Amino acid sequence: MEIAQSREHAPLSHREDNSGQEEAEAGSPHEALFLVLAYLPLFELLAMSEVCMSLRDAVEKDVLPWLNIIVERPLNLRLSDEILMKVASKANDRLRTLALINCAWISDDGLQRVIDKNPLINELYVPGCTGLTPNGVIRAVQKLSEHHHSLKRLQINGIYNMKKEHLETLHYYMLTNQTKQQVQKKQRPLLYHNFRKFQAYRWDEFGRIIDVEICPRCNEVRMVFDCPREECRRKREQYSLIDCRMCKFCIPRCEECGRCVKPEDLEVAVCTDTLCSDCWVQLSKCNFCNKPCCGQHADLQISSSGSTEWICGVCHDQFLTGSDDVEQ
Amino acid sequence: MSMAAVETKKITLRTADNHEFEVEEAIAMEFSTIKTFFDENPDASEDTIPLPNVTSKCLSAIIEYCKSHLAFRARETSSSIDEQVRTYDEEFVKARDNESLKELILAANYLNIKALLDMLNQAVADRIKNKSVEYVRRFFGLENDYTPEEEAAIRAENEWAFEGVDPDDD
Repeated sequence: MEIAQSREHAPLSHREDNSGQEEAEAGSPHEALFLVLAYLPLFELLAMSEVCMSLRDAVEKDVLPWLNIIVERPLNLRLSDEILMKVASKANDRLRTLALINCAWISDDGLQRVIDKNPLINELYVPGCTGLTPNGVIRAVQKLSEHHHSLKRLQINGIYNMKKEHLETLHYYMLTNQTKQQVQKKQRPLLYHNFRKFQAYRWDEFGRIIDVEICPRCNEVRMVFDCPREECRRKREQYSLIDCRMCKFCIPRCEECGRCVKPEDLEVAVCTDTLCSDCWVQLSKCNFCNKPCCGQHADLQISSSGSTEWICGVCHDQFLTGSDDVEQ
Repeated sequence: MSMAAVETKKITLRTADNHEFEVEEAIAMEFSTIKTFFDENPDASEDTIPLPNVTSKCLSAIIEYCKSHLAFRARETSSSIDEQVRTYDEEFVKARDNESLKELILAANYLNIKALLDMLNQAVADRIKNKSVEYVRRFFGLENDYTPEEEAAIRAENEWAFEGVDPDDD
């Protein structure tokens, strides 16, 4: 990522204007904010451009923020093919990361139009883009693997009708010997609870090329996670045998710790996420129904200020808001 | 990088407010700016390096960060190390207010420490995640210098993105 070069910075040389000085006037953006722009998903980038004129200038004229386009909540369902094209054109054909997270309205053609104009894309993340078809994805990946072989990482979890043959074709395009070597070096365990907390576009931190594989149990194309459970790790290291290496539908995993959960051990949180009994014990619980809430959905807890006790939304609605039999 | 004799080599850095910091060479080499400088001027290693764009407060925080991350990297990669790194980064950022974060970003940019710069920028980005324009203004203490007409024009342009957005929690 070019960082220092974006706004005529030169390390160890001094600019005539205001490098290093405190803010010139109260209320004008600090230089640091210009640097932050390149890390913002599209929604926050647009918000920044409305804040004041100098930020808008930075957003409009600098190409750096547009080299990594990340569209997620709340823009994911507002992004149409046309808007995507308009946004992507700001990258001057040098788009590096295209992350469309759950952008259900994007079609194969809409995606391909962007791909055709930006052959240097390194990372293509389209999980949950249910408007895409497997062949559409293959067409995009093929284009990006043609001359420059730029595409290094891909996320396609959640695209409907992905089958083994499609995945094999994608492997063919993406898994050259070179990429395989590069990836083996940096691979980190892919743990369910970490993945759920991570922002989807930080996929490169896990060191893998494609997010999905064939589940050994059900043979569907799914995400398969590593297990932090000691015994599972030991089995894998000693015997190369991994019992729980299956997709989320074949083996449940705890939302808090990522460990595989046996049926007799399985608890359910207020948010309907799965918990193992160890994590269940540690989490605070609703005062009425005694169900816990996982860390991610803490906004489902309703409590009075200052109190650590809480009630879940379901119990709250059922018992505390003007239902017929409850006195106010 | 060859080490001189048995002792670890120290590099002296002088900050904008005239404090001198002695750091181990390994840490100074985390600052790509300094590394490049030494690569091009190998005889300069005894000199004190001036850092007119970095305050002592920033530099000491940055040195702490690089020290810790070097230590993490020296250990074998595992998911528990990853957790520790993540926790460390979260703690590093959590207590600092926006002003210090912005200062650190500029310092990290000047010294060209990619990992730290990424982490800090990401942290600031997370602080304004999903927030409204007004919130961002207040958060950074920025003034709206648009005329009402300009503002209306821009809002119309981005209308597709902001219509029906939920109000902020605060």
